[in-house]
Amino acid sequence: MDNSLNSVTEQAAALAQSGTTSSELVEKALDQFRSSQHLNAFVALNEKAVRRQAEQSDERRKKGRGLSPVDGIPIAVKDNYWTLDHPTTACSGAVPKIPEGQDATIVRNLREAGAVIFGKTNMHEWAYGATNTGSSIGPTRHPLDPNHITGGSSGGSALAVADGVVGAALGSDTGGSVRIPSAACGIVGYKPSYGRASRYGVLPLSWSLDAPGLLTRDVKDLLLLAPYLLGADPQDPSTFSARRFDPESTARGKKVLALTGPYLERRADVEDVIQGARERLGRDFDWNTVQMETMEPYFAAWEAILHSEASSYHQHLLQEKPDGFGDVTIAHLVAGNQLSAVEYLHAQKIRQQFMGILTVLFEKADILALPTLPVTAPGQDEVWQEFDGRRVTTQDSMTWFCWMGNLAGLPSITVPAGLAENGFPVGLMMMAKPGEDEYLLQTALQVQTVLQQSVVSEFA
Amino acid sequence: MKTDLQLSDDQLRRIRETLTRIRKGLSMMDVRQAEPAHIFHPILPPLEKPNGQ
Repeated sequence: MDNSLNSVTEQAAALAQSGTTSSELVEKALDQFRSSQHLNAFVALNEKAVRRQAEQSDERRKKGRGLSPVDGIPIAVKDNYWTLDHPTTACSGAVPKIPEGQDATIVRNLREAGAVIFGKTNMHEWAYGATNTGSSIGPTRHPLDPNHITGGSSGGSALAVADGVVGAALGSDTGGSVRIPSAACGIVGYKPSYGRASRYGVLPLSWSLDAPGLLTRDVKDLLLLAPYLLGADPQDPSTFSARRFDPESTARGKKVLALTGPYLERRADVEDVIQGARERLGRDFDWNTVQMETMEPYFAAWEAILHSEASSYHQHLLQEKPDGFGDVTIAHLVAGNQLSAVEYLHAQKIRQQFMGILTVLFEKADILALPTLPVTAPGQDEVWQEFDGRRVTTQDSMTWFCWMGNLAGLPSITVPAGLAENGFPVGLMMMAKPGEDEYLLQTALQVQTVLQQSVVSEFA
Repeated sequence: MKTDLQLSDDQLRRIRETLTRIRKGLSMMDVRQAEPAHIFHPILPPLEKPNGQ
């Protein structure tokens, strides 16, 4: 595969220097889409609409009226964002009435900047699962080996980027759904702080945990796209106090705290990759390790909030279209319905206690670090994962570390750390204080530079 | 919620296991003195009191 012009940064530079056109980028993306359709990254792709956007972008640039650095760049969108030129189904047979001809706020931001909205990506039904095996159009398949999963729920978005169809894709993240498939597929995935990016027009799963997010090949791409993601939106009250992205912000602190302890175990080959990354980063960052008490009650709080809020949102839809949901989704929704209001509030109290623990940790460190996943991309049929004395479902192994960022609203990112012995990618996850997205992205850029990893290029 | 959903044995097992796991985890913490996180916006800092109070 031609790896040239695969990152958004490279595409933007080529467009600015008239080294390519949006139409050329779109045709290349369509060719790659067709050659990898068996991996099942897309649920909808309106080629006519995509080509029309590219032609309009080329016309603007010819006249010297480019709208922004990303004018003409194809960007794929997870199927739970409203899009005016593609249907929105959340890859479920049970879908509420979606407003026609309307974009989610972030999609609108990108479209107004001239980006080409390049189709809708496959996802785990309603983002309610982290394997991407539960989708109305079937599972996504890993670009290294189709017998392995991509992880999810933004599995199609990760696949579209890792496989070189597009340089960036939108995803959503309630317990890791951007970071999980990004790590499994060897790319970069970023979940902003809760309340800094609008969720308007993104079908909810759990509104106090949900965040939109971006998947790219390079941290530089995130810095280019962050202005269209972050900022206040009158249509999402959680963003009322959100600051715009500040490109002048620079990284400062260098203290990293690696978390270990019960419910933070990981497979030995994954830990080997992380230790190797830590050694390479040792000269630039001050690394320490902290042994945590068990994460079990905090994970339970995250899960209680997730199922309670999802059950509340889906209650009417489950009554109206019970046959549209997958079996596992129905089981989750019924479980959520059986949790009491008292249990939900206990979970919110434990959430507050967890945030108190993080406050103490952030007095000692600027970044909290973990592997993004405790394992590498599992096989499509693997139900269980075993590591370091734990035996958990593949679903739970995917969210094993990532839920923390959602429970506390932290900005969080995964960057490729290397390949495990089996040849599959391992991601390094970093989390910063709430609101410190610029610092996290700048730090991630430094980490990426040091690691000099381009896992994608090793197999794409 | 509709109560006449026909649930399979596998779904009933999943529901049972999920609830057991959540309730075990929640029971591990003493929350008697704890305040719940702000449900709508968990990361907002505490509101400043007027006039420095």
